[in-house]
Amino acid sequence: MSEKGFVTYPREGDMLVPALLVASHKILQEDLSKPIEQLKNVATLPGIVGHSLAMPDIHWGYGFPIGGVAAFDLEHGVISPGGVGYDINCGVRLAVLDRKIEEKERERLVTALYEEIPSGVGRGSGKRGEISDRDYERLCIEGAKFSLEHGEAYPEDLEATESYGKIDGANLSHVSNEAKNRGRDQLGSIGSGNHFVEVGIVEEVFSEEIAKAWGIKKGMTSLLIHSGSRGFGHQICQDTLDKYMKKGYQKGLKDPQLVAAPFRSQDGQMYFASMAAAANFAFNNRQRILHRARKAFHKALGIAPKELRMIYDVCHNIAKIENHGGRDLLVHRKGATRAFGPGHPELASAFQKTGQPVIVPGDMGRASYLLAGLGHPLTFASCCHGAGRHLSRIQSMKKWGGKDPVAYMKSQGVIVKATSPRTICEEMPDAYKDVTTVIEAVEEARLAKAVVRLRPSLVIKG
Amino acid sequence: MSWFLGYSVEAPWPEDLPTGEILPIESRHITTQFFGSKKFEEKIEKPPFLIAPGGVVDGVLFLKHVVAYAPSFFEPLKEPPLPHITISRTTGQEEMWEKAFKPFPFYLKGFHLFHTIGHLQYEKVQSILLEAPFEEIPHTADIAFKVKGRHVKDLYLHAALALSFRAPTLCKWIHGYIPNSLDEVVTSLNKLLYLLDIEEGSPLKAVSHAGFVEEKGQLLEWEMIVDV
Repeated sequence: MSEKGFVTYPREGDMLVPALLVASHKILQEDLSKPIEQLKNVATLPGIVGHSLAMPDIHWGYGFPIGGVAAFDLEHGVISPGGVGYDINCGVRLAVLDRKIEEKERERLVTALYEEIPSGVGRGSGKRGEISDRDYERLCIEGAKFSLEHGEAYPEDLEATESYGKIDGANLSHVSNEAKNRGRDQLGSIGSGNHFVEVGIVEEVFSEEIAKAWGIKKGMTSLLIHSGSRGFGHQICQDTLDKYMKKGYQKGLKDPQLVAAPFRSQDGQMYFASMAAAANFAFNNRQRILHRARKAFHKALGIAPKELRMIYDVCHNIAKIENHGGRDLLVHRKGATRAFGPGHPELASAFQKTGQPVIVPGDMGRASYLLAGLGHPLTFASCCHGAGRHLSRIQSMKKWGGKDPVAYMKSQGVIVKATSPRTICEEMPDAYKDVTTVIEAVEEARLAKAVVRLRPSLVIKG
Repeated sequence: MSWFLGYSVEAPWPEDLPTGEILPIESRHITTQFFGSKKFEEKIEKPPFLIAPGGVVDGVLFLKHVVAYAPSFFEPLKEPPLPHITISRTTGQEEMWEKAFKPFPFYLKGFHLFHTIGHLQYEKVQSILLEAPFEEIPHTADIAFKVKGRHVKDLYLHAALALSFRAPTLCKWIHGYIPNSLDEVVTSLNKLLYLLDIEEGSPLKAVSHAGFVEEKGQLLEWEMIVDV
């Protein structure tokens, strides 16, 4: 029997554990056959523990479904780049400001954000001459903390970052020069695709108690940052996949895209160390973007940088060693968010009573959500990461190409700026499923509790 | 009014062009045989390609009365010996054209009997569409292309062409490299994306080791998935 909000797929064939999908009746109406096949394939990987899991925003990915979670025994299990995703430590950061942005201030602010924060395929701030090789290496080891030493972060920012903005075990010795070169110029930039910076408003509060504990009130201004490890993480993923395929790690697997090395093997450890470096790059990247956003708010509206207060920063593409039920496991989350519940020892004191903030962006027209983790043991304390696409990029492009999506968004009350007009067409709200449906499923399964809903107002896309 | 045979061309056409009498996109073509005012009344024959030839437009030509793009095919065509795509009927702006030019990819879309109707417009009187070297297909998270070719080398070239349609700068690094396997194709394509990312930033991040090569009649097909 499945628990409420979960659908179980019993073991069959080579599956070592059952599969479990978090889904409501509404979500099950979609055609999920391809990602569920991927979910079952993950259940065949050596050393998997518990269930092969998927969140309600499940969709077809590379080997693992997006929205997938899988935990592995450290001694007998594997580490899979496809279980982390190309954009290592892609994640979301939320900050709030205790004042509204007035109508007359909106254009000024969006222009300042667009000028201050590199977006699209453009450059960041790490060009040669701007950051030394030694500092580049240090930031990949230290993550967000590196920015603290360089006046681009406050101590409270780190307290409000998953794993305090640093994954232990990072090492650059096996990272290719290609990866380092790609990352260097892109540090401090959003990137393209579905990455964004969004200013919005706290539209509705669902849990007054938790919102109060986190210092959030209805009507406040929100700032969401969605970005990852840019070309650095992509190249590390690609280099590892190339190496693993060449060495034949895919042999005998249900799907070669699941290619994985034993975690304790040299190849497994090398990927983990490189992945941790990319994760730390991403933490630092989002910290730099926040710093630039603070500068933009100051430049446009005279708002002191510290007034833009961080709520939290979450990873949603990562593999981490976590203790669950007294056992250390390697938890892969690909398009899934950690959602530790109240009392978890890793959480900062501000979240001990409430559980971890879980940030779930929706689309640029409707809503995003902030939730509080409940630490559900069946999911290794995991939750969803977004809405999931409804239309492919080409379908959305066909629908909006030749129209004026910027004017349409403005008519809906949202100012959008992007480097590429194509990106706006591909990222229109109707290209995404309604995130509220995903949140309802998460709440039904008791993975997390909704705290507030955010409504977008100004959006910078890549 | 004149009649001629030629190919229509598909390309991510450059938009910032010098001013002048610019040919509309639908009129851009490569002439293979010109008949003047003599009406051509036979049925046109399908060209001997299994798949539409493509390549890189790598220069501008300044001909007697026109400015034209110079296409370099991955495999040179027998006819015409010196292919060109007329882009403007306003001449005398050589320096501006040279300055504005950047290489871009192309492939032949169809073979046609054309009839001039004036004002830089051509009517396609007869048409035979060619099998495109790639097509973009829906994918829920990333972008995907169906890539076609006669052999693995074609798959590499046509996949590179597909990527170049999204990011034209990339086409300048497509060389006559001959991969032996799909894994080598993926590795080579990722090298192109790396070069692009380093030079100007890339909207396409990685080609994944996904999919298998399927034989469909005389052609190979591969579903290429590209992480964005």
